Amino acid sequence: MGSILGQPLESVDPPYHFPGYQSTGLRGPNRNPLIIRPGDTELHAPVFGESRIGPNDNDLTAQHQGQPIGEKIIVSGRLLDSRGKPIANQLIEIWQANSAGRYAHKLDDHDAPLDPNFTGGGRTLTDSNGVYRFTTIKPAAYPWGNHPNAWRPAHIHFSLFGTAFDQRLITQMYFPGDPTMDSDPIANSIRDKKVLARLISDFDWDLTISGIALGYRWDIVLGGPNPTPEAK
Amino acid sequence: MSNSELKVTPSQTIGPFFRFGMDWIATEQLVEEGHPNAIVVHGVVYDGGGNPVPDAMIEVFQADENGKFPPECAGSWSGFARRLTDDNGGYEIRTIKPGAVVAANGELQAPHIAVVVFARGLLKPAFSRIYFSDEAEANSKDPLLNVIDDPKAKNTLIAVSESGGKYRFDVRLQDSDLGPETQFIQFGV
Repeated sequence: MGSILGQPLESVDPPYHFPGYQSTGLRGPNRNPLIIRPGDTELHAPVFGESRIGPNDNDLTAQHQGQPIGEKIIVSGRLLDSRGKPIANQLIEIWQANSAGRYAHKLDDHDAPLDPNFTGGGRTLTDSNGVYRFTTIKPAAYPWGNHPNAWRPAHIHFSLFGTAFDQRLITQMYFPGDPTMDSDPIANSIRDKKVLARLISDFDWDLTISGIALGYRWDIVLGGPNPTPEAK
Repeated sequence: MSNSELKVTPSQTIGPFFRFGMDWIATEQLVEEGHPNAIVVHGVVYDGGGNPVPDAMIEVFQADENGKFPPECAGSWSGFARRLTDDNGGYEIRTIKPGAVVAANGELQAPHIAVVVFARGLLKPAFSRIYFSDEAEANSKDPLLNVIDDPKAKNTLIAVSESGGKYRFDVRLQDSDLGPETQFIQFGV
């Protein structure tokens, strides 16, 4: 039988080591990975049913008694494989800072207020067309200790599963026109500006709700060596 | 052009502050306590200085005892578990050894669990596999283990059997005084 060794796909991901992002120094692997074609385990994926999603899990503005402070937004788009096939009924999780740039995390020491009406964690399942939708508050930029006057651009963290475990992805969605993007080493660890642009959402009038919320559209495409083949 | 590949979304780090978003399933076990074939896989995530990594997330995915995956498998088997490392970089998962499943070349593989690690400072996921030290014969025929020439690298994929059904599987993100970097895996074609 043939070998399971594989050829690498063209990678869109940043490298493990990016000197501008200090934490990569002791944490990014140094050795060459073993490149294999995925086996049965990596070609399957966990299934999360409707029972795992609560009524307000996709509305981060409705998880507490009062309304959070900030600019209410809709974030919606499609989860697709690299052939454009929708990934249906799959879990998407998000987490983010509040409208002051503060995370509800005990180690976030940024001197900005917590919002008692905003935790900043959410989850949903994609529908049969791969569409997801969250209602939330636009997060603010916040300072961090990576270098002098370092600021993270406003972003929402996204956790994604596909139809194969090898598609597992965690990434960050950014907002259009953010003036801090060009100096952010995490975003710019992706050296190809065209690739980085895939992480920036589009402002979308079709998603806005008159009098209530602005809308941002962001489609997500999962790679992996074995996307479901197109139906013949 | 109907078959053209779409533009794949790149990875970014999980960052340090994921706990409140990711912890909702981070204590679930794959089998209940008292399951006759229950095992415990546990270990510590270390950085290149030999320091424990207290802000890593480990996820595992595996077949059930019959080598089946959701949605084909019986019952409520999810095959999936998530852990957020504790203050000492540790994690622990109660599960079972999976049944036999095939590799890309159709050969049967030794029992194994797919594992992926995320952490602040990791700009993309670090995938690997967990094998078991008390499956020496199956391991000796495993198509993945057999393409790793360096025995030290191979050993990083093999959880060490301890007493009481426990298996120790440490993740070393880099070489350190504690041992060699875990053999990570990249998926190709």
